[in-house]
Amino acid sequence: MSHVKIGLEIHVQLVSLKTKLFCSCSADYRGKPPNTNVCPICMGLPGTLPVLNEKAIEEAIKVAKALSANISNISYFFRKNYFYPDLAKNFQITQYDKAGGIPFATGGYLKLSNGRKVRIRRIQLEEDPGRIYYEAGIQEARYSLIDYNRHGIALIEIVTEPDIREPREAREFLEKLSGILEELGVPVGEYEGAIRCDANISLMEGARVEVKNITGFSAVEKALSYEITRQRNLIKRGIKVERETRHWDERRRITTSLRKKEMEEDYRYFPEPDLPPLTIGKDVLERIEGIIKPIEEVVRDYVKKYGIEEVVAERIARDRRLRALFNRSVKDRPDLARHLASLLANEVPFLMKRREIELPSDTKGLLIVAEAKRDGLDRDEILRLLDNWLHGREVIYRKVAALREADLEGIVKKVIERNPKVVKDVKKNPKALNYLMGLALKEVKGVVDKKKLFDLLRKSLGL
Amino acid sequence: MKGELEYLADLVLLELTREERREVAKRLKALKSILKKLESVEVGEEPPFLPTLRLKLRKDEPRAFNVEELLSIVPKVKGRYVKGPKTI
Amino acid sequence: MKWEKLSAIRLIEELKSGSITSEEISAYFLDKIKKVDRILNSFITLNEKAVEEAKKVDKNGRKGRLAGLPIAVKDNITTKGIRTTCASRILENYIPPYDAEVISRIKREGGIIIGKTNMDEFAMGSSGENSGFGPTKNPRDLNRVPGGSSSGSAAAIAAGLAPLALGSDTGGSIRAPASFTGIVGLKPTYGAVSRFGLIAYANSLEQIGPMGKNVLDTAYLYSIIYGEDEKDSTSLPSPPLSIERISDFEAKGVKVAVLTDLVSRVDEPVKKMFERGINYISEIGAEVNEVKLEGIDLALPAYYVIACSEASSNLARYDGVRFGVDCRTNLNWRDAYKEVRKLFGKEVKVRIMLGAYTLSAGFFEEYYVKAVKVRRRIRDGLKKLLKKYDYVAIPTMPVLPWRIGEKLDDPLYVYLSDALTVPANLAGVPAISLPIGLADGLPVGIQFIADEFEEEKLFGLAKRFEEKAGELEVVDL
Repeated sequence: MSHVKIGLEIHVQLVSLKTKLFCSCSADYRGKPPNTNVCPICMGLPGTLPVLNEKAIEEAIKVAKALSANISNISYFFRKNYFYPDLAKNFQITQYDKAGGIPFATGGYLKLSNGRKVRIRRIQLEEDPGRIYYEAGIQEARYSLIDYNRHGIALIEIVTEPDIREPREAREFLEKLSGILEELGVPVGEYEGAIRCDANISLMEGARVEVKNITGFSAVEKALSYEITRQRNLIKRGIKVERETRHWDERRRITTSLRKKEMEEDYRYFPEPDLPPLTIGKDVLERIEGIIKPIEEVVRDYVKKYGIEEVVAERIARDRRLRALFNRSVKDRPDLARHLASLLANEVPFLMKRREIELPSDTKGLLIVAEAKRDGLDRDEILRLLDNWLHGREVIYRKVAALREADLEGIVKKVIERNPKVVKDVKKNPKALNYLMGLALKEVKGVVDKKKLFDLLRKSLGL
Repeated sequence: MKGELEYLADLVLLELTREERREVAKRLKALKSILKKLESVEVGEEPPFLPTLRLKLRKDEPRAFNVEELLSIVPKVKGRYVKGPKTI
Repeated sequence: MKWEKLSAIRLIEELKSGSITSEEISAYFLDKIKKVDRILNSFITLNEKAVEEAKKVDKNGRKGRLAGLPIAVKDNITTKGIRTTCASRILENYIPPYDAEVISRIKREGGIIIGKTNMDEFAMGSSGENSGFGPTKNPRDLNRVPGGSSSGSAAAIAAGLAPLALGSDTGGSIRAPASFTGIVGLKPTYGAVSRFGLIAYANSLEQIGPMGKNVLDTAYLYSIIYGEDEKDSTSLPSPPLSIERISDFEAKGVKVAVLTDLVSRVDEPVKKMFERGINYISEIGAEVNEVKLEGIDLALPAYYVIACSEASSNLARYDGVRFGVDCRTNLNWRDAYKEVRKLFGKEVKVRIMLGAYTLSAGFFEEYYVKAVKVRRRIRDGLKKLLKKYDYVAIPTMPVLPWRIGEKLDDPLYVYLSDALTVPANLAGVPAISLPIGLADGLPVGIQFIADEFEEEKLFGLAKRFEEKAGELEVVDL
């Protein structure tokens, strides 16, 4: 799979909004009769003007922050000019990173479970086009039927660098992104067509092929796998892969050529004169942080809901990434809440301070470590497991049956017999007790209830 | 000139009659002669925007428009759909 | 009674006092339009419900600051239920389902929309000849152009077919016809009047503005339409305007800068009249200074690049799918759109194509980017000048109104006639045109420019100037 480069262009509908991006039409268009959520603005009537939805900016800030992107303190809207029946104005209001343009946010990344960082090139705000229907098939249709209900729905476009190497990484990226969005209150998974993806793929530094019309995460994996095989076969036969746009045919599970991209289409981008630059001040950013969740409230929730100590809860609540990890993992296993909290508040920051590492977004490994912690695995072991998780390595922990009382007694007896000198010291020197406890723990193979062992040791020493 | 004229017209989906082509070419030539003055201008690195206005924002509160009125001005409809041209 | 001889402000007083009803006055003007406009061609559509609406205003006691006064509206301003064509065959049958913000404001004050005035198609032109509904004639000389693109609004005022009118000004479209027909017209500060409902030609340059027989009428209409609008992201709040303060304006000691470079290049009869205008300025006590403004020569190319670039994108929506003349849906979309877009006039096609050219890859940097940067320089230069001086004064048009059809073979002549009006649009500052007097029987206008949101100050000086120069009488046709 070497020499494969995949980049994604993902369109995300901001499904948490009540209205469209540039007009006050309801954004709740699914299942509605055609052309019911429309107005002169989204129908592109002459004389109408766009006015930006304030909440769209807040949502975009949340997403950009979650992906560690840099939010531009000033960004511009551009017109992308092309004619098509699903576009009411025959141009789309979007953002642009050339021609002096600055998109909403740039940079950032999302880390895959194998540790590979997929860098984000840009994040921008734009409007969704309408939808076209055909009574028969597209080929036989004598006209098109247009529904503008979707026209003007707020989208954010997330463009990645070509950092993805395998089809299943593309799928994982989308699943993770979807999880993060859900966490932010943008549950794209619950709405059909709310997250859509185009993929760019090139093999061995060859021409870039764009695959469009992929819906669903598994379809992305399939389409890319198909495309890799197709391009490999071409290369094997000595045929040059051409730069083009291809269409994913879900039914036939193949990609078909849409148009040759001999020339970049001339979209005649230029700044949208009806919208002054979008400036985002510190005050707004701070307010959004507040909107995401007031920390005091989060702390209160954690204490009440999971019985976590307040100090611990606060440590998690204050760090957005720790908080996101905790929320996502605790959702699946509320029974492990206290152990997860303790790991995230203590051990994880400890390990992260020692080495320059980033938090993974995967929670599976973390949950395994939490289980081990519940079972009383000792700290060194816990740290070792956590370290594996932090580095994207597999976390393996085999639960061994807890030692029985009789076994513990045996261990204690052995330690006392072998260290008479220390035993003598025990009454005067409290450190001696800890030393003996350490020796006892070394004897343990498997999992032990430390408190039980300690109590037993003290009892046997007459303390 | 003729090739360029056709290219430009096609880009913005215009078609010119023979009579129009002559007239349009003449006017375009006149305008381009005005534009020529820009060629010798030296400009700096500043971004191509006017820095004057501040963006107005709107609250995320739905307001419905009388959609039947809107549909009544659509030239061709089929049920509630707007009828458009073929896309292939 | 010849109601058209009275000022709009006086008519409103008559309406308020009850000496005349809105119904009577609306019927009077409609009647006059029907008689005269066959010659003038200043209206495209009359509001059939005007009298009915006037009756309603009468019944409610002629409330509001317009109290039932009829107003003519340029046909690129959207009016709910009244056909709005932009003088284009492509919008021949378009009846908008909403009102422009300025129309709502006029209705709120009891104004009656009497009809929609002729114009250069999509406001592209300086003569009124580029209309899909035939050229408008100049009431001062029916063989000559009235100036454009707000040709019908200006001609209607000059011929006494309406007491007040709305125009729009992208590169001089209010001031040029005001100058050619001998009336008063204001291009407001960019952002002072809502553009919501103004059918776009070049969004970053244009404003809706008032036109009237005299300065105070014009100021009065302006006081009704200005103000911030949440539906227009580029609109801004203005300081309050007072007609009394305008009437009491003290012109003594104000500093007026005359741009000598520009003045030296205008036609001889215009130059002579402008010199007379300078004398009037001195006579009212203002101080006249001769200054030069560097780079002003680049205003015209910058204007055409920016205006056409924006226009090429704005006019993409005319495809016959959602409104207007229908397209043939059995064709492929490209062919169907091309078919319907044949209805655009020549000048519109030229400007759309030029805009496609200046925005297309390879030319964008050379034209669009340069034009915007030049625009900023012109704005900075003009604003700097307006810090030092209170006003800039120049002629409105460099030439006298030409004969209809005379310049069809000389498009450059027509394009160049915008040279003195475009700087104010590029800079976003307000500018007013009012008559100096007649040269060879043809009106010549002077243009005053002030800094942003100084409309009151602009009207004030214009008022004092008008007292010297005199209003031009309404033409009896």
